[in-house]
Amino acid sequence: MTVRPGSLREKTDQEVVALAKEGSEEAYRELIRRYERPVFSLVFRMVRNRELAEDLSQETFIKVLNAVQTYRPEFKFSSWVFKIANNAAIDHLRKRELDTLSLEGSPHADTPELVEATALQIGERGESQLQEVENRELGGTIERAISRLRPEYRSCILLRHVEGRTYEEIAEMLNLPLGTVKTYIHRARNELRILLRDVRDE
Amino acid sequence: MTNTWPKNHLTADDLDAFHSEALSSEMRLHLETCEDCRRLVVLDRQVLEMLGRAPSYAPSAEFADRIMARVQVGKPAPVPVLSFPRWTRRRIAAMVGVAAGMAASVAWSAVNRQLLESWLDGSTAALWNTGAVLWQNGLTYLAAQPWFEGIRSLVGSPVRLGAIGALTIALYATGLLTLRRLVTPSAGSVSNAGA
Repeated sequence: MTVRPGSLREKTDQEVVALAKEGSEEAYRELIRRYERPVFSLVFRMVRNRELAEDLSQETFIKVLNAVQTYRPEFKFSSWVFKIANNAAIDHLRKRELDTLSLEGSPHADTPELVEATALQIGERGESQLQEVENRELGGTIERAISRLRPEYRSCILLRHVEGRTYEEIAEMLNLPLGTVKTYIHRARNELRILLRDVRDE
Repeated sequence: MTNTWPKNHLTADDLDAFHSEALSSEMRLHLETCEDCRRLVVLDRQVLEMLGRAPSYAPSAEFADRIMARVQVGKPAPVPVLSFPRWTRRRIAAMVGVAAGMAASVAWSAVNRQLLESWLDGSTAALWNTGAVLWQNGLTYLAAQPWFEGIRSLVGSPVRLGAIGALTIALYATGLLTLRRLVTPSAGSVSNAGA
């Protein structure tokens, strides 16, 4: 089944999944296109290793797309994807502790253009060089602060304040009581406030 | 500023309410007079702004192609067969616990055999008598039923008895297969959020 990729961009997740269920390869690719950056960003911030994050994100998509026939449209597709991605990251963290933090481009990038294309995307296009530098520093500060949080706090705060998910969605995704999610997020914010205040005071 | 939440200061929920412009008038009034809470609100807003501006990361350019090479487009997910549960530490500990309990029970019985027999002596005879009476009464009741003779003549011939046995086994096997289909999950560990 062939569908024009351009026409897919206006469709909802549910509609794209319906086309994927009918066997449209373009629909599969559209689902990857929509979620590759948010999923990769979440996993990267959780495991803090680009190569590993790419492997875990890849496994997430393979799991999701190979099971797309079983997807139930009454649930949010994005919640399903994030739930599997977060589980993959948490499972990995439980097995192993990683302390490296890379803000560079993809390890697969073998040309300067590819390194630039796959590195951190900071700020809007057209910003002045000074703003870009400031944003890069800001990005580094927040990344370091996030990386110091406990993994459970980290996934909650990333899903809430970076991915914009509601408390209820996060509770559903992480199989946690709503009150626990709220507590984790507020404790994480508390820790971030302290870390950022210390950075500003330096 | 402290890391705890004093009773009369802004709570975590108040902070959320403040950011969504839904702070109660009572807490708004408090905010006007409390320097600590004002600092807290400003810093929290800065944290949220920084998180909101946190950059997104891009995977490598071949990311989608590598996924598509391992995805079966349009094919339903394979139905996993029921498998033996994994040997987790907790399960092994539970099994060891049960085995230890059974071993302890056998050991105690062996050591305290006389005591155990004295307990059982009186009750065994009574139980046996009651069981025999019940069994006899049950058989008499069955033999008195009007359909008993019909069944007796049906299984009277070895050929018919064999046929009935085969039919029973076939029905049992069909039931088992149906049950297995019903209890086998459709997509293994992958499930919808909230499902």
